[in-house]
Amino acid sequence: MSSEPALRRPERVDERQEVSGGRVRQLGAEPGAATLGMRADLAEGAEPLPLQFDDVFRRYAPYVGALVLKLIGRPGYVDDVVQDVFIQAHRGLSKLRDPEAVRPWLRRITVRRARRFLQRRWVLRWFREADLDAEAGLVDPSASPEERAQIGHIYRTLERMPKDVRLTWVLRLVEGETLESIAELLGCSVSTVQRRLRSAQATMGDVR
Amino acid sequence: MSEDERVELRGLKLDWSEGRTERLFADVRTRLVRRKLAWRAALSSAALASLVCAALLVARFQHGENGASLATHSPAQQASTRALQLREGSEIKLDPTTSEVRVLSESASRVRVELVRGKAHYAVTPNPARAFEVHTGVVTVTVVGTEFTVEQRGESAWVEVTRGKVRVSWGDSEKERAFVAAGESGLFPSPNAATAAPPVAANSAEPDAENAAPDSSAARAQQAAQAYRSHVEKRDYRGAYAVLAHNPTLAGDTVKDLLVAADVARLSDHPSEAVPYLQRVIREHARDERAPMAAFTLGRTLSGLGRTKEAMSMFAKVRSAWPRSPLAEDALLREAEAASQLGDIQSAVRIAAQYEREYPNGRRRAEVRHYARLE
Repeated sequence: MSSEPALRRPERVDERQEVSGGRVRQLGAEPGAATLGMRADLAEGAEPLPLQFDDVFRRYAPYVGALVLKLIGRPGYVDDVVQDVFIQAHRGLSKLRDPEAVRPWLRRITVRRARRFLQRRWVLRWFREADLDAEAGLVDPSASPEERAQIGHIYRTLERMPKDVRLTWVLRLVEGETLESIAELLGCSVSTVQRRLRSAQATMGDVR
Repeated sequence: MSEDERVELRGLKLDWSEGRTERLFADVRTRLVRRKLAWRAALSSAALASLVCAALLVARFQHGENGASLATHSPAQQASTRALQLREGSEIKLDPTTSEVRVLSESASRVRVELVRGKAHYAVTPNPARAFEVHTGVVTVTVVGTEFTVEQRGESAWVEVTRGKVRVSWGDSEKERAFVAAGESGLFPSPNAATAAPPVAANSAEPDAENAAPDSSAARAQQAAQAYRSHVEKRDYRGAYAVLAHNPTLAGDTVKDLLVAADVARLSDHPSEAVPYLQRVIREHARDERAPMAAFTLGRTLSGLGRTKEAMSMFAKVRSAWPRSPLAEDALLREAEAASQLGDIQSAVRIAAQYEREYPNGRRRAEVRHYARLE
């Protein structure tokens, strides 16, 4: 999951290239030898072309999926949230030129989508679905009993926390985000992040 | 934050396969296509709705234009626009919800319009070579160039002239004609005349129609008359006016009836409606001892309506037509006042001189001189 393929900007198409199916084929070269989004070099001074949605999805879907699972703790809803993230990303991708900005940009969208999902938790609770699949599929079958217990404790405790407190704790202690970054992601001040973090830690206790 | 503080969720099931990515990608693609189609459908619907609205507006606009055009170019077509511009320049204004006008014919020498129902205001372009006629029931209003209003009131027609002069006729004899000048108005023919005077109304269908009228309408008329009298006795002028407005014939024909109707209109805050009743007293009962009072009241009413010039003429008429009336002195004063209001100081001075001659010791002398700016 951590092995993300290299994402490159598409080059400008020149007279020696042709476009076919969203990919650029170098004329005179073997088909598939060069594809849009996989080329390494960008001519100096040339204006970068928009990133390709296909490539962005394939590269970052595993990352977004893992982040969603950590944030919401319900494997059964991960795919739905991932789809929502990329649907939203599709709208803004054409404005993005820097491949380095894709990951933080997707992280921001993912946190907002996860937050929105957690806002609707009361509906899930009302249907008692939260209890049914709170731990089902969450723990890897190969996990040790200690790891199993840790995961169970953490997500049972997170379920009792307000959504922003919960997100703050996961982003800080699981994802290792800085306080400033969390404040930006959740749209609050750093002091609010600190307060939420203290509150979450008091509820969670020592889980390491 | 140090690495020691971080929580590593080693037991979390984070497996992800290429197949899952492709499946999700296909789902996302499908959703994007659906979304695109939904947007297109929404845009198409919005565009269609806009087109329909635009078409409706255009149709409505064209209908309005055609209404006027039909009435102008195709006689006998009903005109139901607020302002109907005729080809020769005259204009007819009416409320299409309550009134209906039909242009019967329109030529260079003659324009014939029928007021089917309700009320319409006519601004006729002056043209001596062309006669302009408005027909309603048995009444025909003929004009050359003027501005007037015709309203159907039962078998009669209410005619009020703003500018110029019109001839109103409801039969062939001389007695069945009247001229209404600017500032004047009246009901033609008067309810009694409608049944007796006009040959068309009296000798043909009208009396039969009245006789054949259902009892209920007669009963309703009787009830209205009783209600009107009751309101007047109680000095409930607003209530009386409400009844009178729906039953114009209740105004009657005697001096007393007409003065009561004028009072009902004036005291229920409808002074302009009092004008025709007072005019009828002056016109139809000039020899009655109450006629100068009606004329004086008419002058005051017109003055209150801002029709100062007409008021001044009416006060002058009180003096000239009934010089021995006790109201003549006051009429002279009010005439001076009207002249002063109009800025006609020369007339005011002339009236003051006349007052000095006729009433050398008059109690209104100082006021008259004041209006003439002699004091």
